[in-house]
Amino acid sequence: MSNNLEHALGFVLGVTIVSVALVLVMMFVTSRDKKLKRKYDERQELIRGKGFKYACYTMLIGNMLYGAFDIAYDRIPIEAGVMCFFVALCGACVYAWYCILNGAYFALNERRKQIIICFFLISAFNLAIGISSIISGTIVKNGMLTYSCLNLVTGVAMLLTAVVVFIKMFIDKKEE
Amino acid sequence: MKNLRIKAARAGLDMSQQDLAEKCNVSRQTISAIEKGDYNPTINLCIAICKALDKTLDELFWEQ
Repeated sequence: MSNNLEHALGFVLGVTIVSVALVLVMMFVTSRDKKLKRKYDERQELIRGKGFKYACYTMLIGNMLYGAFDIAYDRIPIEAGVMCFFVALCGACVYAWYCILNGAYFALNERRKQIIICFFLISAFNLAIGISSIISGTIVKNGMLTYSCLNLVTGVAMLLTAVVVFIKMFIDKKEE
Repeated sequence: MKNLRIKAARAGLDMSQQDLAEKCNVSRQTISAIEKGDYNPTINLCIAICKALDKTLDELFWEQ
């Protein structure tokens, strides 16, 4: 086994263990504190299920398209990891936007204002890093879109999500 | 099909969609969807709405 492969396996295993541990800790904390546990009504649960389904389809189609392009072209000018992230982000956006527009994204006991502020802060933080990457010229290297673009893409996605939340709030106000 | 009877009963008690939603422990959008006929509630939610509006299931949900 080469050193590179050992290093890669160690890195992936480390990331997986930390991610699983974080999820378990969050699940443990939310199960103990009822205030932290998000409550959704029956229609919201239904919509969220549909949202997951559409997100799954989106990611399947995204991966198929990526596979097709990979076969058709010798060299896609985007790094494979970046492409995986794009596909996952597309799925997450489809899920979030579908749930937001159908009034199932925010739980009954959730404070919307805090989450919207979080969206803007995360978006601004990522956009700032993304813009600094553009200025330093690290986004494209040797004609390939690199990992440096991830912050920019995440920032734009979060900003669009915040816009969708505002559109939904506008529709709701009109409806009331 | 729109459920105008829920809307009428709610208006009769001078309740907003938000008030009814809070009484039934659901979101305002869910009450709106039921009134517009976009969502068919489960029997548990139907009962909760009937209790909140002081009506029977027949009065609110039985189609004649």
